[in-house]
Amino acid sequence: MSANSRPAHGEHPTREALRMFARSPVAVVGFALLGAIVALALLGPMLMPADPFDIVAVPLSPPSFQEALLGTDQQGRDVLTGIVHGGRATLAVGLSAALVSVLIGITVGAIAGFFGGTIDEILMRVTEFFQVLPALLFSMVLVTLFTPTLMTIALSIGAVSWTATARLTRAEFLKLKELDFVAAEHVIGAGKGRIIWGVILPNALPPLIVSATFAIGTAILFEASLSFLGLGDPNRMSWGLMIGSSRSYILSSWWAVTFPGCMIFLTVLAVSLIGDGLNDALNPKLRERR
Amino acid sequence: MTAAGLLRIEGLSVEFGSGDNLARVLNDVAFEMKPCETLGIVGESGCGKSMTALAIMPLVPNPPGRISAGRIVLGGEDLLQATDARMRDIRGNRIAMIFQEPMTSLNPVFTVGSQIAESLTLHLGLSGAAARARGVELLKAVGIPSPEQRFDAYPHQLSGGMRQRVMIAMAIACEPELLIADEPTTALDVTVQAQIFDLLRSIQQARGMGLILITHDMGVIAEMTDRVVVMYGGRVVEQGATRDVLARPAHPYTRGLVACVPTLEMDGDGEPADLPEIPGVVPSIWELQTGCPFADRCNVVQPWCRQEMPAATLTGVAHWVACWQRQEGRP
Repeated sequence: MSANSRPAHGEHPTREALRMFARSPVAVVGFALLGAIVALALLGPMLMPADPFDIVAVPLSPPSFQEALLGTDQQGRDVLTGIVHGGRATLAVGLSAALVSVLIGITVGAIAGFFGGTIDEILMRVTEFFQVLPALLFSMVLVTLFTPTLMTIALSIGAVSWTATARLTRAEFLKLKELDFVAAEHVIGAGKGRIIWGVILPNALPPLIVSATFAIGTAILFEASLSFLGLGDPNRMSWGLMIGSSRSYILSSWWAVTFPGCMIFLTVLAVSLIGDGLNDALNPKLRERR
Repeated sequence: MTAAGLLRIEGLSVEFGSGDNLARVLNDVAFEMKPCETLGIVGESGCGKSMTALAIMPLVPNPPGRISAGRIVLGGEDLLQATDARMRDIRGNRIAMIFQEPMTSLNPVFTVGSQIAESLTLHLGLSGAAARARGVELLKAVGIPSPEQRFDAYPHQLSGGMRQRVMIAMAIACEPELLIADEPTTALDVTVQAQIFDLLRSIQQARGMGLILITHDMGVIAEMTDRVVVMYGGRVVEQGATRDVLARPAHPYTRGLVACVPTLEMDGDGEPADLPEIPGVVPSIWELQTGCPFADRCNVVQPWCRQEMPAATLTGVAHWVACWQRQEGRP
């Protein structure tokens, strides 16, 4: 038995998962990439304090070292400034929409899976109802009903994308609630709330964390789609808004659309890589032990 | 009503499903327990031993199961009439239970200490340092070496025997009046089994608990229990003081179980004696039962055995058997 290739007996599961994660090159690349994007979004606007809506040069001027590094859009706004400032909105909407969707999904799935019977039937029919609705259309309706702000956009994306998490949570609960340690918890007199949130949910977390990571990627794409269709917050610069407002010029002035598009692509890629890495690290079947 | 009784079960029936798919897994089960007594429940797999334990908690999975009749009286209180909140109060505090599989009975994501402390917090309102001190004390009481360190261990860091000791520590945390152990050593190797039984016995004596020991091992019954309940096909077929039942088994099924214990005796030609067995298998719970459930496997079966279930009759001092052989009048 080679001592260094096997984890020390009894290593804490979280530490073991972190170690597995750190050893996966894909996950580390994703993590570094996302770290760079987040740093750009958080620190960039301080380094480039110019208003992204300001006109800096002739409209649709190509990338050049003299004027605008990444060119300007059809209103003469600097694409680079837009990218630096737009990251915040895109990431904020992506994260909070994923959070909303995961919260709704876990709550619905946990209650359905734990109680079963009629409650499960009702909640699963509701879930199916949301599943068959065209998600983009439904969120467009929601956004137009309310004023499009970052908050309402995040809420409406979350409200249409929780169904997969709900099904996953329900499946985990159905599996876990039969296990002896859950019965043991009943036996010592723990209440239902404590068993759902304190006992079963922590054991269901690994697949849910992975699914939440992918939900962030999906939510970012969703936000971009809404902004592209002109349903984003018009007063906040975001990558989706930049693509949307320049979409008519994609053939003549590729830079106004391509650069923000690349940013969205890189962000979603980074999040997906992290999700894959987490999946490998958290999946007990892929672990070295046993 | 016996005033000194700890637990009394009367006419307990548990059904699964409904209509054509109705299965009676427990049928008119009745027995009593005195405080500090060890009661063994013995029988083959599928006889209703574990279901009886679940019914006492009561944790019969519902749906599809339900307790259709009977009373379970613990210290004068009918548990089947108790509210959910009252039952949460009783579980863990007055009745505790140990499961068969120590490998899966502990929550893998929390330390064993936090799981022991949980029960203390729920029922005794202890928290923080007080719960920790009491938890370490309990780990020491169940014979875990260096309990201070083990308190912060995760279940996968402990061996099977250690985990079962932790389960026992959790179960006795609130000094219950009744401890139910459902085949507590089935998953453990033989030397560890003996240690766990020693531990259970010493804890029971030190704390004055009633202990229900569910097993299919007649050796364990002989060594550990004061009284024994023999179950077959969801019914109690014989019960009495352990030494009476083992010395003079009255039901053909009990006789079969006693005969199945291996001995070192030789037969006539110097070879080890063949181990007797009870032919056949436990009847399916879906079969409609009229008459004695053991009739198909019984070596002294009579035609009337298949028509009507015999009532329990006294065959010695507090020794009951449900068999037509022992009945005075036949139908």
